[in-house]
Amino acid sequence: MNRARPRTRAALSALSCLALLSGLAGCGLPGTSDVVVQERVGDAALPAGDEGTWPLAQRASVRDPKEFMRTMLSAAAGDPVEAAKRVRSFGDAPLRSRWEPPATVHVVDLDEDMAIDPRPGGFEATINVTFLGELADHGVVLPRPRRAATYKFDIAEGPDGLYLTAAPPVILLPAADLRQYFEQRTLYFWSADGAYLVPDVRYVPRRDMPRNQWPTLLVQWLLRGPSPLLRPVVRALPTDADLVGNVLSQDSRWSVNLTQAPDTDGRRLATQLRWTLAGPTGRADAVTVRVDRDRFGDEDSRYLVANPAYRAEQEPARLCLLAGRVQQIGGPSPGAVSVPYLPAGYRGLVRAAYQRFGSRRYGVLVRDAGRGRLAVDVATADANRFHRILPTALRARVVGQPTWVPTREFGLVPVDGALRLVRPSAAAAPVLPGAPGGVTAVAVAPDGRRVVLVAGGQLYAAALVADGTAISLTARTPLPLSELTGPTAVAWTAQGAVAVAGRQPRIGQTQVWSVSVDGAVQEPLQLPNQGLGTQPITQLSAVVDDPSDTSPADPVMYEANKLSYDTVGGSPVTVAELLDPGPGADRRGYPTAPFYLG
Amino acid sequence: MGTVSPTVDPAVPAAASPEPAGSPAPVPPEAPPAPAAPLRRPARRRPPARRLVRLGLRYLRLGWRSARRGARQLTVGVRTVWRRSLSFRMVSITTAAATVLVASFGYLLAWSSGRILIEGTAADVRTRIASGVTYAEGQLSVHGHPADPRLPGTLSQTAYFLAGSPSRPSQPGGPIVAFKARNLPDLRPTSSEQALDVTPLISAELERQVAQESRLAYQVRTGTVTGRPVKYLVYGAPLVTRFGTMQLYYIWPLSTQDDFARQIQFTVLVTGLALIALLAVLANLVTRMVVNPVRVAARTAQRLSAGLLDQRMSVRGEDDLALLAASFNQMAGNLQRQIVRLEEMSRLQRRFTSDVSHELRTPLTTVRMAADLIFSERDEFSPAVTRSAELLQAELDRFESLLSDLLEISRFDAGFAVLDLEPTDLVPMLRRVADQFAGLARSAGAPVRLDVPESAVIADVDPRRIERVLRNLVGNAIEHAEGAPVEVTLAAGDAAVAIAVRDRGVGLKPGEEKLVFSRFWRADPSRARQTGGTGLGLSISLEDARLHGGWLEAWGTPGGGAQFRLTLPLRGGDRLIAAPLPLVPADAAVTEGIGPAPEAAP
Repeated sequence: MNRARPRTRAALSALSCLALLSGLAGCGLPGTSDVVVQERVGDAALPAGDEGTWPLAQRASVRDPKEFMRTMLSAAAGDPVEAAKRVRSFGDAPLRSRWEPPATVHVVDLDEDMAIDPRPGGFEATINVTFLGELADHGVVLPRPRRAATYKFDIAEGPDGLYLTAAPPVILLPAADLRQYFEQRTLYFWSADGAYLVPDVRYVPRRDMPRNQWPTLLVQWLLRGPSPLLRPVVRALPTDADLVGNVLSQDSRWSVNLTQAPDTDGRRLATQLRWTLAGPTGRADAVTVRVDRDRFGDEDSRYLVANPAYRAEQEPARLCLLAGRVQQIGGPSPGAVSVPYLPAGYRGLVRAAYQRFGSRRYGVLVRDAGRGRLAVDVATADANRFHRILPTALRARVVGQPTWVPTREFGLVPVDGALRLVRPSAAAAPVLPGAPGGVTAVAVAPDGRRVVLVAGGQLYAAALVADGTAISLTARTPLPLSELTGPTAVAWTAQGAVAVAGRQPRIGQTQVWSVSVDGAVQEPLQLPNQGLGTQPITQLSAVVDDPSDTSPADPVMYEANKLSYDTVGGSPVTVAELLDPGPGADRRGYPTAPFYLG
Repeated sequence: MGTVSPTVDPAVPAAASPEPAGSPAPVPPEAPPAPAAPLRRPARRRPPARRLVRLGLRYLRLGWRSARRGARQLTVGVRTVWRRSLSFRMVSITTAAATVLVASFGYLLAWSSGRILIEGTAADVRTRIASGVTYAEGQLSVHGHPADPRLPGTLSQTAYFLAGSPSRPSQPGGPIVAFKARNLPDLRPTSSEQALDVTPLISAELERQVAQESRLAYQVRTGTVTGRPVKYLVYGAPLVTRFGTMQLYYIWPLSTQDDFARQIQFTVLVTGLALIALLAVLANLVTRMVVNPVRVAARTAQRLSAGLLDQRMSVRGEDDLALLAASFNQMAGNLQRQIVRLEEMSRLQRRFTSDVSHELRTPLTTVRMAADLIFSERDEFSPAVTRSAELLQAELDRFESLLSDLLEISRFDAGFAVLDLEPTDLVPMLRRVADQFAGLARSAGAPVRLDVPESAVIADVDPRRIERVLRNLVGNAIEHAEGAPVEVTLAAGDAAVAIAVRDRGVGLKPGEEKLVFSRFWRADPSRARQTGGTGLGLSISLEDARLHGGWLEAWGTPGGGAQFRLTLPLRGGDRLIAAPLPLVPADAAVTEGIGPAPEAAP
């Protein structure tokens, strides 16, 4: 066997090598390996926390029944889908299982006086509310007709605080909580003709969503489309893409990731997003839209003009009428808009409205035509003078404040309760189709598509469709007023709010309030108990704040009792404040009918 | 079968239970059945399943044994071929060495290629995961605490985005992206393939390196998350968020790389096998270049040794083989010349012998005739002449036998001795020889005792020569017996037969056992010759024994007598290995230090 050993060893080694080779042929890469460790990656820590959130107070921490009611009602503020759940957390176990209100969150005006009556074992709270609207999804508030209601709640005292034991089957969100716990932001949609961006007011819940997540929410809402009020006058989105991930700001650029590319011009979508993501301070960072590996943005130069409120850093001119002629209030300023002058022979102006449209100026002039009747003229001007004045066929006794529709070539005048359409080239002034009867005041937003009017003592919001040749008013929605009655004049003060003048029944005097275009947020423009006289306000004029301008907003001007005021609650404008009244102006009376040329 | 069990079924005939003939291994005894229940009937039929099992086991054993036998035969056959074939040895050694080398290089190549593939993939995944970390950190920066209800949505959207475009279905070959938060137990792991659980692919060590040591790390793992085992490269990177650290894992399937590696290994294997085969063929060709001349040389030498003295090798070139061939030719030429000379000398010797015998015989016959005549008339001569006539007769007799012995010896020297083998029964031959010497034995007072077997002992011998040898031995024994009986023993074994002739006479002095076979040697020259020997008897006997291929050996001690043993092979041509009888008789007195010298085989 000794002789055989080297041979068998050789044979065995050969066989084993063959086996090794053949075994290798089937196994490919090794199935497992050790962990291969590479370099350390920087472990910088970022600050934690949710800035800008207002968490809901705990039920157990509130002991006062009034406070409890207030906190319980404010629980509806937040994501409307979870509103019922939040309110339910204030109830006891039986209430939690049986309280199933409909999912609508009603925006109501809560009366200050809440009655808390003690009951055995607890309290009974009685509240008076005025329904203003509904908080729908995507942050839209839909205005609803004004309606008052009274509700009773039962509160029980438990071992660890107060409990809600009975509640009406309705979710109420006080408008004050809407103002506090929501932030008003605007989405922008392109108008139907693609010329201008139309703002859409939404409400972002501040409650439990950190500020840096709001851009994501806004873009998601934008991708869902416009609110019902705007749908007739804006374009649908060019893409039905979804947002991927969160919207981030990197190096002063927003980064938006979409699933699909827009079918048409992506730059318009980028401009839309840019204005949507712009903060309330007016800073609009550029947007980079990414779809897979493509990216596109908008052009820096063109985004500003897309927003119709942009005035190219030109200050509006304050004008008024004195003895039938247009005068300018205040001194000339270098950045002011140039005001064209009327021909010297044109006199007898009672009311006027000027509008700048590019390099042209338009004016609707209401003059005294004799015999107690007023006539309406349409004037066209370049930057310096009105070179063409076309009289319309309108003659009436009562003519309301005229207005020229911005971005359009026509104006609107309420004549004898009918809203008439005036043009620079036609003498005929037809009634605007779709307008209600009894129109006493009308104001058009700077985008030329949204209209607020007062008809029959009721405030309405409507959309002005003017594509092609047919011009009409659609989607007329009544806006509820929380405190004012008998509105007499309206004017747009912001992209999402109008100033309304009416009578405040509490003090029996006129007040001017700022009402959001959906009626949800209503604030007085003067002190709550300050009145502006007993005479109704006959004219209201304001300029919408330029979003790119950081200077303070121009004040609202109004006329009451044939006197002009250039600030709310201030003193009337005197002849001394006029720029160039001419000789003998002291004897011509006081300036009236103030208006802006924006 | 022999199984003793109370439940043996008599219906099963013995023929049905085949037992391999001559199987050496005992059948393992069947386990005795459980202590029989009292109700069990003795001759119960075995359940067929157990019978089948036993049959199966039996066939298995048969198969195993025959396989072992076959393997053994194969081994023996291979070993025989290995011994006999130089080219087979060289080719197999070369093939074995080549296999070892090729296998080790092939393994190195395959392992190295696998490692390169993995490292390449790891480098690729590293760049991807770096950009993935940047994107994920940006996306997660809007979340401030881990309980943010929108955080799981962000994680799964980010995972989908990083794994592939969300609009396209995730491409095969793309990674599975997973997020894990080791320090945030409330945050469940998210992956881009929600239907699969990828946590078993992330080992604890990898997680520790990524989560605790904040390092980039990767590992290869095999998982069956999709149902089939797939190899994955699991690459982990730490993420920094506002609510803690998270880990991002790219689980990259290595199916393509695995296929590459397999293809590479298969190619290496095929190439290796082809290389080994080619090397074997090449080795065979090269070996043949060397082995063929050697084989030719071997055949030539064989033929030369068989007697064809004119065989020569062809000398080609000037290398070692040519040197071998030239030397071989030289040797063959010398041998041939020598043998031819010797043959010539032998021929001359034979001629001389026959001539001498003839030449000597003729005058010898004449002298003999004359001497016979003188001897027949010796009574008429004077006593001195009578004596001379008797002397003349006796010496002439001696002269004649010496002459014939010389002639015989010279025939042996010339190699001319001819052996006529025929199967002969040695027992009657021995008896005949003993009878022939009966008279002499009586007169010498040394009776011959025969110890022969009852049966016949047939051996292939030349009867004439062997009888002569026996006569010589017995005659010498009687002559040197000094009155003691002579014992003659015949014994036969498997392959040899031995005849020992023992006398108890003077014996041999130490060292004389060899000399005794020398020509004309006498132990004691003064001894009277009673048989008139020539001094050549033992030499001739030795030559005769050698001619048969047998041995003739002597042993003796001074005063103890001597024993001569003749050993012959039973079959002609066989080699003798052992003798059936000992050389040293059993009753030998061993003098101090001097034992029987070991007999070397002639």
